[in-house]
Amino acid sequence: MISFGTIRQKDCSGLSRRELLRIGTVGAFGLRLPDLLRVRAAGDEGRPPARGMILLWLWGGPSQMDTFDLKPKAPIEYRGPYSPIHTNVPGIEISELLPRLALRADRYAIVRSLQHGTNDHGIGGTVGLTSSQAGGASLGGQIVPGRLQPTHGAIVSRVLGNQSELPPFVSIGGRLHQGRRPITGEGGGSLGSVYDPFRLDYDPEDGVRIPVLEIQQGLTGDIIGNRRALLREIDQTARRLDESRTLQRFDEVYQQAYSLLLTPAARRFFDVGQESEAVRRAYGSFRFGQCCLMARRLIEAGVPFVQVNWSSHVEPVEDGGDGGWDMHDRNFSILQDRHAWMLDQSLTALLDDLQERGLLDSTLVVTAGEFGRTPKINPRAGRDHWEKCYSAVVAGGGLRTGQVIGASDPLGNYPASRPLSPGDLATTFYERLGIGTTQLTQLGLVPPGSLIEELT
Amino acid sequence: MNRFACGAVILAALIGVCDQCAWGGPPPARRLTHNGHFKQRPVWSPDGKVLAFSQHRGGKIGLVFLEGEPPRERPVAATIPQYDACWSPDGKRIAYTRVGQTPGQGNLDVYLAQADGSEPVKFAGDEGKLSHEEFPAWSPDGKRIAYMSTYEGNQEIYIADIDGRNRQRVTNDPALDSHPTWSPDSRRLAFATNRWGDFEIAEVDADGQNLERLTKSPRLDDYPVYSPDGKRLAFVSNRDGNSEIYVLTRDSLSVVNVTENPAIDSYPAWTPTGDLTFVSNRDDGFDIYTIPRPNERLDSVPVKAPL
Repeated sequence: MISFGTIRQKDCSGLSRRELLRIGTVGAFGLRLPDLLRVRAAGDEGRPPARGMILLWLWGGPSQMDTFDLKPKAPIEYRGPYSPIHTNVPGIEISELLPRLALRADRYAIVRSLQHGTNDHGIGGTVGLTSSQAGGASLGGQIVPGRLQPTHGAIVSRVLGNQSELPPFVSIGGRLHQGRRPITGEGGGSLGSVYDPFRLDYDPEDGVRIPVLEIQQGLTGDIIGNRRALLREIDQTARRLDESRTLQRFDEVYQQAYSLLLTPAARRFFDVGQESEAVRRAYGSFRFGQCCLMARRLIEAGVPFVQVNWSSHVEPVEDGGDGGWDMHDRNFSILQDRHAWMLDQSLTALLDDLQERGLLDSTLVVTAGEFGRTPKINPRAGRDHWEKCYSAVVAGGGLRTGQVIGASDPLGNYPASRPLSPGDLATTFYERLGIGTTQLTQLGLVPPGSLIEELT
Repeated sequence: MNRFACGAVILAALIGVCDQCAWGGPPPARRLTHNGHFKQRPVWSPDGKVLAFSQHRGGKIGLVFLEGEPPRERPVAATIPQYDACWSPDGKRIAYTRVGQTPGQGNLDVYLAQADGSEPVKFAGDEGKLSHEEFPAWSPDGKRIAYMSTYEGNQEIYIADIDGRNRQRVTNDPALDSHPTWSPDSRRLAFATNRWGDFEIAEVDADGQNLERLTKSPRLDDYPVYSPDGKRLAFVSNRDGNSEIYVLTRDSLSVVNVTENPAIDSYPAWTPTGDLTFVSNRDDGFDIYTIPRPNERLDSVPVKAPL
């Protein structure tokens, strides 16, 4: 695979030595951040509390029993090896693996009673990202009847539209897979592929990547360095695509890609190398941390919806994946050695950073996976899929934080109070973004659930 | 808690603080790697010339050898994940965890190979149903390998002869028993277990008798490793709020935080000469560091008390 879509930034010298297509500027990006914020502030009146959302998608399904809903009094086969610790909100405890988040519990709310009806990654992922099973693809390839619904980012970008010249829906990370099968529900669904996400990624060695620019084999540095040749190559590639819809979509994606690539001022919005060393370190030098930092930069630049995929595959690296949360085995080793502190560090940094920049009140931050994991430890020192009761963490956007919504039963098997669906959660953050029944019905959609009033 | 018990707890805490004070703080650490990729389980060859460790890179995990001066990395070529190696006492072979694939999820087995990673052979794997065998530890007398496995429906510690025969179950508890390490005389095994709540360090005879709890902390204690002279164990603990390397004196059970760094310090390993190696993200990414002979300084710590 060629990597000309890569911007190397292994040091702090800004854009890399391999900086691409250094041509052209767009005046709109001449606005400095303070100017942008002033313009926004002037239009505050009557606007919904949230203007943007970051979805941290913990693909594979994190264990609620070891993170945000511990059961220290449950039998040893359930409770696992971790102790709860106090947070800065009296009465709320979370895992000892999340000490930084424990000091900031006033900035988020924990929903402990989410549930839905499938324990398949593919279908569960579709539920989590669209609030519906319709069109979801199972591990075995069966498709759930019904029309595939648009993902949250598609709806938000459709309603809120472009607030800058950057794409309104950016997904950072690879396409979500279950095994070798890509899941459905990450894109525009019934709204059309034009509302699919624009994808970015970050690799600790290569820096920022723009995957759509890596699909053409044979593009060399010489061609890349010559804009005309590059456009000719793109045109030739486009002609090879015989399906008109695909071609149209291809063009749109490329237009977006090149409006970014051809615009140094735009590129800087996802160039984490422009951040100070202290900020980059705060997020963590690992992939997820830098992706969270990229998300903050994009939100700051006016992108209304950014999704950060923890991994492409559900499986951890030990299972041949790329580091997902699907821990049927080694659940505890992986959590304590990597995943828990990574999440702790990156989510903490994101909340702190948004807060310090005055963006947290206007930016929803939702952290969830497609389901949780079995309260009872399985025979292989892991936890399996569990959709009957799991947790999510929500912050920002004017939500009422510092609280726990819902509760699980003593073993963590089922909601003991306030059972909620991913659709209820989606309805709530849509409401925060000013997307209500009227806006949804205009799109041929209905609210996917009920408002979680305790959060608003 | 009655007044006597309360006083005893306070006294023990004060004595523990004294231990930490007498330690005087960690010496400067030497950084051995610089690429920042996540690393785990560094283990020195018996001659102290080669460090084997596992490294995550590009969404993959694999074994790497570090050798020479200045240290150079030599990744072990492999198309499938393999990690958590240990050395045979003669330094000619390694044992490690290797991931085969089953439909839907991975399958961990323990393999043996020549020191360069060639000639891999399965040492422990499934027996009729999916189970996970991992984290091998080669006994210092060269005769047996300890590892953790879920053969019988729970994660326990097992040992077997190096030909894979004569397997024995060392632990038998519904808790998770993890990360075994041999005492230098090959008679005892230390490991982490959550049978008393969260993970603590315990020690047991190789035949499963005479279990002894070595740590009592309100937080995680894990990854124990005996010092070359067997007098101490290094382990990881988050008892002060973040992950640090502690050294426990075996006789007194006193513990000292030997890293004292706000970063994550984990995966301790001893060099044959008693230096302490570990993984840390103190310089942002995860790299391997070593501090010189903490035992020599700990020998001068006058007060010993159980903690």
